[in-house]
Amino acid sequence: LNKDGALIIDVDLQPSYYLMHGTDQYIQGETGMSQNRATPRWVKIFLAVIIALILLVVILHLTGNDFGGHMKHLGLELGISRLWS
Amino acid sequence: MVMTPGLRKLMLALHIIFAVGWLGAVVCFLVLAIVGLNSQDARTVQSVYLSMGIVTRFIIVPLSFAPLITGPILSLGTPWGLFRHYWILAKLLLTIVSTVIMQLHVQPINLLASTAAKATSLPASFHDMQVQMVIASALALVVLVVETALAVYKPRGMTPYGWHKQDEQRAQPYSINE
Repeated sequence: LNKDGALIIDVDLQPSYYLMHGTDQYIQGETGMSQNRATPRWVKIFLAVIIALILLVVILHLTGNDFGGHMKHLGLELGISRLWS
Repeated sequence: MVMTPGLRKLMLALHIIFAVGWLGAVVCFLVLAIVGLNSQDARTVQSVYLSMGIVTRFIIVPLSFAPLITGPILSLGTPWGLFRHYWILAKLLLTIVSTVIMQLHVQPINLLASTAAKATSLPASFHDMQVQMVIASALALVVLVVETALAVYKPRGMTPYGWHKQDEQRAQPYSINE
């Protein structure tokens, strides 16, 4: 409580309070008994995007269309070192 | 272990400084990479890639490791924890991936910088690598913006481990000193 008697919550130290009163109605009801423990949709979308990006990078590397990938760098560096030696 | 409020504020300030500094350095890198790709002036191209080498070595590489240290300390030192909430796990994963990708690109950046220092103009065979610098830094910027958004919005979602720890805490008798 501050000097005016208002309740001060430090959300960094009270995650459950933040989740209850923050960006979403996360925990429903006063008793907190009806909690949804399923994996949120944003987590599933996030994982799908990450997996898609990893697959894209792997496919681009395997097909050689990787905008000058790391194998090319090594080859290029060898060529440059010979050029300058 | 819960940190004292003073220590927590200090760690939070350091974490924000490192993360925002990293984001700013990546924006500078992206601008330099775009200018280096499109400029027709040989001296501009040379100075751009020399600058990119310096920015990478002295700013981006150190700053990419710093949040990996301050982030876990901060989360483990507060009730948020490191593995209890999906948004914290997502941030950790993105930071690790960004740091690894950053390390993989240090070699080509150094190659571009050293070649630019020796030659009056870059060989045509470097064009793909110049394009890769633009794409990699643009992707890094997107990742860092997503990380910042995660930290601010703290989207809902507790991991099974988080629920387990919360159930454990609720089962314990309440103490005013905790």
